[in-house]
Amino acid sequence: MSSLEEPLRLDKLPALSNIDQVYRFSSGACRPVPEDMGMGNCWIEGRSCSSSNSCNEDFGEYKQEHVTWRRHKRNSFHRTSSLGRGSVACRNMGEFDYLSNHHHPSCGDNDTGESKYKLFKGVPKYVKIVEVGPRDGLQNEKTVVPTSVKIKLIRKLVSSGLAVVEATSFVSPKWVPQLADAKDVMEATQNLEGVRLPVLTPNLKGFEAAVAAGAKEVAVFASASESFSKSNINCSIEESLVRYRAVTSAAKKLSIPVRGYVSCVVGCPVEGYISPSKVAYVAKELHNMGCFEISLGDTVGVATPGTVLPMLEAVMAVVPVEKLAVHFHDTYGQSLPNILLSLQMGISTVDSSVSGLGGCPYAKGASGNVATEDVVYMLNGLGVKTNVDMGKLLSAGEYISQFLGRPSGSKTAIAISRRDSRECC
Amino acid sequence: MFLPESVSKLSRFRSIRYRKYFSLFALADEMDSKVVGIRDRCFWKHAEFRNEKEASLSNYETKRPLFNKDLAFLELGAYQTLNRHYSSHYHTGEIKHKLLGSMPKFVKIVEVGPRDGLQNEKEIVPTSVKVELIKMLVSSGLPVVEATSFVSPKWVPQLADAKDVMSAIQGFGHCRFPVLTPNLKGFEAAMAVGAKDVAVFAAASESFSRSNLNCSIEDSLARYRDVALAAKNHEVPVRGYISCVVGCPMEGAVPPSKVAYVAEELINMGCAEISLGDTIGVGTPGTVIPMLEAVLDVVPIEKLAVHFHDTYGQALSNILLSLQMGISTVDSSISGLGGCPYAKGATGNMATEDVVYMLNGVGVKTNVDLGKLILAGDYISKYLGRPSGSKAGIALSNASKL
Repeated sequence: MSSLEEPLRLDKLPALSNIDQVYRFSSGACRPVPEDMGMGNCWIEGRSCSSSNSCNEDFGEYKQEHVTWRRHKRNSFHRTSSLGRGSVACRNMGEFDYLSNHHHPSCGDNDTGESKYKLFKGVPKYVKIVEVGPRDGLQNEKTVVPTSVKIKLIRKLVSSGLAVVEATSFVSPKWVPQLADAKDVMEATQNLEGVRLPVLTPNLKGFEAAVAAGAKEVAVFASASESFSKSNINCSIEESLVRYRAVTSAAKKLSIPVRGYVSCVVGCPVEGYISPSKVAYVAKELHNMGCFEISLGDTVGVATPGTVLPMLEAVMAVVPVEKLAVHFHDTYGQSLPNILLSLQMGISTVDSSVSGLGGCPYAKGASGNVATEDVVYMLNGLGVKTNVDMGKLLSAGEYISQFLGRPSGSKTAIAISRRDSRECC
Repeated sequence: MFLPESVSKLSRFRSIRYRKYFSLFALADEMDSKVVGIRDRCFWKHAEFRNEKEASLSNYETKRPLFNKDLAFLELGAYQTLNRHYSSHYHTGEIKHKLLGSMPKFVKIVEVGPRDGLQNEKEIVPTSVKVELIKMLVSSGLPVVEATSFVSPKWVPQLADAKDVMSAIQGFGHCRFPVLTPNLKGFEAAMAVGAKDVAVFAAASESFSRSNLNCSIEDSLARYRDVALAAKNHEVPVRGYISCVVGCPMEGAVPPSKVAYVAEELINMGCAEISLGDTIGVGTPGTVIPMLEAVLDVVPIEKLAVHFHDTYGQALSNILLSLQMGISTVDSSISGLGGCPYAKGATGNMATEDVVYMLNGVGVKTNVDLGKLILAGDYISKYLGRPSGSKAGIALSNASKL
C-alpha cells in the first residue's frame, strides 16, 4: 500500500476501486461495522449499522476488501502513533476534506421509505454549480483586477470541473469599470472546452458586443422589486423586461441561450419584504420570453428557509423546477441552509462564487456570495454529484485570495489550508 | 429594539440641508405615494433633518436609491428596514409545508460562549468582562448560559476564575448556568459556589478521548457515573456532552453506533440532556442524519441537543436539518467565540446571532431578543479586538454604525 509517511491520497491506492475509496472514507452509516477493531474496548456490539440494510447488500461484493481495509487502517494507526498525533491527524483530515463523500450516494437514494431519508427525497442526484466569481465577484472589487489574473482564475475554475463559469459582463464601463476588459477576457477564453461561459448583457448593445466577442451564452438581470430595479438598472421592472425581450429575440435568432436573473427575491434594501407573487411574475415573464434558466437571487442575503420556501413555491407554480437556479448571499450566514432547503424542494442548480468573492454592496464589510468550496463540501457530504474537484477548486480560490491579498471567504478553504500548514492538536 | 424609538423621536427635527437627498430621485416621489412594506409603523414621507446624524438615523423612510457613496445612510436604512422585517417572526406565520412543518415550535438555545468560547482564547479574559458578557447574554433572553468550567486551572487557565464568576452571577435573572465538572472534585467545587446545573464531557472516539481527557471512553464514563450519582443526591441536573460525533481528527469518520453507545451510557447514568458535538465541524447533512438516527434509537428526542461547529461553514445547514428531524435544543456561541483547536485560525462554534436569525425566519420561538444579542456580541468582539464571528452580527451592527 502507500507509504504511511505521507498523507494517503486516492491516487496512491491502486488496489482499491473507486467505490472502495468512497467506502473507505465514508461514515459508518451505510456499512456494517466489524466487531472488534482491536483498538480498545469493544464498544461496537457487532450489530450491523442501524441504517438501511439495502446498503449492506450493495456492498456485499466489497466485503472482502472492506475487511482488508479495516485491518490496514488499524495497523496504520498503531504504526504511525509514534509519529505523533500531528501527522496522523493531518492524514485523516486530508482524507476527510478532499473526499468528503462521507455519505455514499446509494444510501441517499434509498427507496425503502425509511423516515430519515424523507428529508432527502427531493434532493437531486446531480447539481450543476454555476460559478459567478469572475463576474459577480470581481465586479465588486475596489481595485480593478488585471485581465491576466481574471483569465487565469477562469482557467483554474474550468479545470476544477465546473460546468458553467460566468466570465464577464458587457455593461457600460462607466457603471462597472472592473469589467471593462470584457472583450479581452472573452477572446482569451474562447478555446476553453467543456465549459459554458455566459456573460451579462443588459441590453441589445451589450448583446451585440458580446456576440462580436464570441460569447455563446448570455444572461439578463431583472428585479422583483420596483425600487431596486430603478436604483440598480435605472428603469422600472416592465421597462427592463421590454429591453430583455429585445435581447432574447435577438439571441433566439442566433441560437444563443439566455439565462434570466431575478434579484431581491426575498427582500429589498429599500422596500423590505418582497411578496412571492411578484417574484413569480418576473420569473414567469423571463421564462415566457425565452430564458432557458431563471436564477433567483437573494441580493441582500436576508432570506431564511422560512421565506425561501413560500418564494420557491410561488415560482415553481409557474416555472418548471428544472429551469430554476438559486443564488443566495451569505450576508447573514443563511445561504447554506437556504441551499439545503432548495435542494430538498428539488432545485438542482446553485450559483456560488469561489472563495466567496463579491461583497454585499448594501452592508459595508458584510459578506455577499456564498463560497463555492462550502457548497461543494456540503453537496459532497450529501452524496450529490457535482463533478467538481475540490482540490483544484481550492487552488483556484487560493490563487485569487492571494492576489487580492485577503483571506478566503470560504470557511472550508480556510479550515483545510490551516490544517495543512501547521502543527495541529 | 432601541433604534426605532430614537428614530421616532428624531424624525421631528427638521433641516433643509438633507432634503435634497430625498427629492433628488424620481424613486422617492414615486414611492412617496405608497406605503411600502411597513405594516406596523407609521411612515413619514418627506423627512427632514437637522443634521447628517439625524438624517441617517431616520433613513429607513427615505426610499432613496442605493448608491455607493452614502453607504452609512443606507446601511442603517437597510438595518432598520431589514431588522424590522427579518428579525421578527414577521411574515412566516404557520408553515404548513412538510419540509418545515415538523419543526419544533420552540427551540432552547444553550449559549456556550462564556465557557466553550472563552476557554479557547489565548489571552485570559478578566472576570469582570466575563461577568458583564454573561449579564448581557442573560438580558437578551437566553434560557441557558454555560458560565464556566471547574477543570483544573493547570489545563484551562482561561477559566481559573470559575469560583469568582459563579459568585458574581448568582442573582441573575431566570437563566440556568450549567458548569463543566470533569470529575467529583470539580463537582464538589461547583456545589461549593452554588452551581445548580453541571455538565460532563465524553467522546465518541477513543483516540480523541485519550488525547483530550487523558483517559479512555470507559474510564471517563466511570468518572461521570460518580459525578452523576453525586448530582442526583444534590438534585442537580447533569448535561452530557459527546464530542466527535461525526468525525475525529485522528480516527477519521466515527460510526454512529459508537455515538449511540456513549449517548446511551450517559442517559443511563442519569443525564438530563445529551449534547451531540461535531467537534471538528466536518459534519454535513448526509452524515448528520445517520448519526442522529442512531442516537434517537436510544435517547428520546426531547433530551437531545446539537452542538455543531462551523469550521467548514456547515453548521447552520446541519442545524436546519436537525430541526427538521425534531431536535429542539441547539448549542451556539455568541459571536462565534471559540476557535477550532484542531485547525488553527479556523472557526469553531456556530454563532448564536446567526442561529437566532434563522430561527426567527422559520417562525420558531426562541425568546431571544436579537438586538440585545448583537449588543452582547459587539461587546465581547470589541473587547477581544476582532470582528464578530457572526455574519448576521456584522451585517446588522455595521448597518447601525454611523
